[in-house]
Amino acid sequence: MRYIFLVALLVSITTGTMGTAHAAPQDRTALFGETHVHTQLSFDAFIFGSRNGPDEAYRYAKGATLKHPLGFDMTLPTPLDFQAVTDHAVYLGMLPAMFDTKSAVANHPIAQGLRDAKTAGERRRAFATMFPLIGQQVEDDLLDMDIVRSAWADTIASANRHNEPGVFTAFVGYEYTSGQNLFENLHRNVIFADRAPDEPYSRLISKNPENLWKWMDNLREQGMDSLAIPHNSNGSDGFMFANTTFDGAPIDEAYTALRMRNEPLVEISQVKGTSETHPLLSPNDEFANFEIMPYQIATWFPSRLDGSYVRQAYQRGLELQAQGRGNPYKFGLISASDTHVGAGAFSEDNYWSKIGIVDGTSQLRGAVPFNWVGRLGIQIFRLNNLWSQWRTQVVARTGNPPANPTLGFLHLQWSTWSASGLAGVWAEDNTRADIFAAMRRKETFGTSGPRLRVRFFGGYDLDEAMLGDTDMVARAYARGVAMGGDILGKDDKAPRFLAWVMRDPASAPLQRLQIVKGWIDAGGKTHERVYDIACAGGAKPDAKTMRCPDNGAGVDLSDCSISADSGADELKAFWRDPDAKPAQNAFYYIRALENPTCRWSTWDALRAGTHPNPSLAPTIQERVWSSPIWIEH
Amino acid sequence: MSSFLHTLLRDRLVWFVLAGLALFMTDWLVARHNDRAIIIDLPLVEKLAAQWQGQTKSPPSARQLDALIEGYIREEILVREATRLGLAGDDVIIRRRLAQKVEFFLSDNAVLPTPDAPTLKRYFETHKAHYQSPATLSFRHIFTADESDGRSARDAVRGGAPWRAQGAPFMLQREYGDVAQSNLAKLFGGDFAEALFGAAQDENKDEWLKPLRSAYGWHVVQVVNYTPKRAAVFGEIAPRLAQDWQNNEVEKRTRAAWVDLRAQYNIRLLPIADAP
Repeated sequence: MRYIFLVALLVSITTGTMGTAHAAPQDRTALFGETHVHTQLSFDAFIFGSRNGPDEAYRYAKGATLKHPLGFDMTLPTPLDFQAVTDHAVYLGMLPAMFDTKSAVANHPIAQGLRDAKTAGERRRAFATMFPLIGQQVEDDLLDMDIVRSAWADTIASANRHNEPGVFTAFVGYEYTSGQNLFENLHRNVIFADRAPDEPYSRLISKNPENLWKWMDNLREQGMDSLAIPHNSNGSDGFMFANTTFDGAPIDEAYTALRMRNEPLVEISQVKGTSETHPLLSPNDEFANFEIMPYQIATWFPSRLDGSYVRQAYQRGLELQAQGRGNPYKFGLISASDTHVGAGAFSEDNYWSKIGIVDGTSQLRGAVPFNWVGRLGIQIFRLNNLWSQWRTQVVARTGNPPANPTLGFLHLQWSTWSASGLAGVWAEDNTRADIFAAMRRKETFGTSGPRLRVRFFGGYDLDEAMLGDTDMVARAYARGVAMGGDILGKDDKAPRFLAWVMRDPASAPLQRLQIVKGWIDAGGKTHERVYDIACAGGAKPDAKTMRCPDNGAGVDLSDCSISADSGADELKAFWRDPDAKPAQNAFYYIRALENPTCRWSTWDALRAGTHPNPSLAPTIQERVWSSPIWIEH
Repeated sequence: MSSFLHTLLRDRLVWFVLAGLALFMTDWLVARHNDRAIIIDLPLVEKLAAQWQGQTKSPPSARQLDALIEGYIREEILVREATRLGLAGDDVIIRRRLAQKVEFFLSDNAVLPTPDAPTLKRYFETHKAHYQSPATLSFRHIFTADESDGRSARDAVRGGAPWRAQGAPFMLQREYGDVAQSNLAKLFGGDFAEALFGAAQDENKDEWLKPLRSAYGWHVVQVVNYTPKRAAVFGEIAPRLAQDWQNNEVEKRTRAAWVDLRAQYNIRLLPIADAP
């Protein structure tokens, strides 16, 4: 049996900074955390009213209660195992500096506008005045690298203070907030294995992510390992997983190697929507319409689907590979919150969205209608918005909101947002070295919020009897590869898989366990198919449609209670690919769905004693996605 | 008139004053000229190159270096103009930056001493509660889907059957070492953690306990070791203590330095009505 372990390859690249393999792989445990948190050091978070810094954010992850900018308490029901604070490198720490003055602050007109903004609407407009500055122009009088450097030093010191090996891992990180010429989102978080340089690489040095990766390569040579995790590909207008490089040149093997060395993971789900796939890209996937956020980030411009979603990127990767360009989209999956108040909101029934006073109430999120005074206010707000866009040059063109789909409800970008998500890693111990190594070998998964745990193994020597074997995990590691790994294809055999998912005790029971397969045929065309492989209640998936029968699970929208008698605590299955063809390159990943529960917007309405907004989905099927296993010939 | 001029020119004092004026003018012109001089020397170029390297992790090319120098010249001229116009005085960023620098000095004013043993011991005594470790459990468990399966698995292991072969496969670990109750609750749910910690204190070690319910099903547990909550031992945590003591000391000194500094100022709060 010869398997390519990508792990081994990566270990050889990054030796010296990785943890020692002190435990057997079967002793790895699922740790939950998050890699995407903004504090008041981020220019936008500060505008949104956040006054929690990195220290507060780490304390929140460990279980402390923080204050939301609107004054209410934020607490995690279960503390996290690890976290990275990732403030925007661009203008890092500059906003608090502009605000932290007594009277002589009239210097920059933008600073004044920001300071004076009190209401949510004013803050939104103030935020828009920053756009030209994070775009093409750099305003020298707003950028002081000394302040950036000292804020960055504070960030590093805070992570190091809160890092407790074995108990809680605090990573050093930041967000590289880049884009194409307008708002095409190319943001990624840079997470450091341990040591970090004294200055972050921001879009002010280069907007081209390839230059970021070269900078990371260079640091790695100096013993500072890091990885970058792109997010919100859904809002990238097709640029995140494009067919070309940043400058529009064809992708070649050098680009692929550079990208894969630095970006082993992608954020599949977060507050600003889920980027797995879109109903128009996956018309045969009934569960594709999940927390879709259709806009380019911070605008009302629609984001192109082609090149913006993960499942299509995996297929595109197979195509590029077939053309001899290597596969630049062979990444694993995690989720994160992207909170801008220093505290992630992961549960539907305990949700505060993420941008502080701008979306901190259920009315502002469009979940609860306004009374007539409020409605009048909305219309004035809309007119005022149009007026200020027309009047001032500084407000960037961000498009206009669609007409309110339902009278009385506000419809803003955050009505399409989501109480998501959590990162899961299979690591030996809760340390920087072990978690970073798990991220490198892509033994990771992402959830839409709940603590769902998933195992996934592939190989030719797995069999059905292993399912009942109490030593299954150890054997599966010995005979196959875990999520994130590669199988070297054998033409005379169909690949086999073991999949296993465990519910979150604090959330709904499980409904179905699925394998998502994508492949490239002999003609170079790519395909995808979703197979249900285990159903709650022991039912068998239909042989033709590959779907579980309806398990009848429902939600009572009058009190958000769920049916207690359907659903499983765990689902597991042995699966042999029935459609495998010789020499077929493919990827397989796990998706497991909970029974439906109330979406945050329904919880908001229930608490306010109103009906849910009819233009928002009333329920949600929380889910988990594993990193894929690839088969290569 | 011309004879008056003539007389003046014959007076040595006038020549002296004129010569003085000329000297003064020359000096003023030279000084003015120097004020407009910007000197680019090797140390400066090296500094610019080092800054660039710090940001990009690669040395600047000749063209980039030219641009860096030109950028420096531009900055220097603008800064001098700004200073001439008195713009620095009430600039927020500059004030903030200056304040930050002094803050930095406050916290960094002395090389940190390494604490001696008695100091450390004293520090330990006052912060003892902070360092105590929670009770922990080491245990094995057999996982079953329902309670009756759990009871029969328990009978089997008590009868000498190998424990690892009993029950259903469990996704997480079969054996856990030194887990605190809070961590156990994260894994199995709070009720299970509470029940197991309760049972572990009552029951005999190595006994296979009656099935306990978790969020996932039933578990027959054998407690291998129970370590009660214990106070920290000075010797074990000495390195961490030293670190914490130093952090604490920095904070203390910064605070003291600040109090000192503030005491040197006379801060008056004007009644609101009298405020200009």
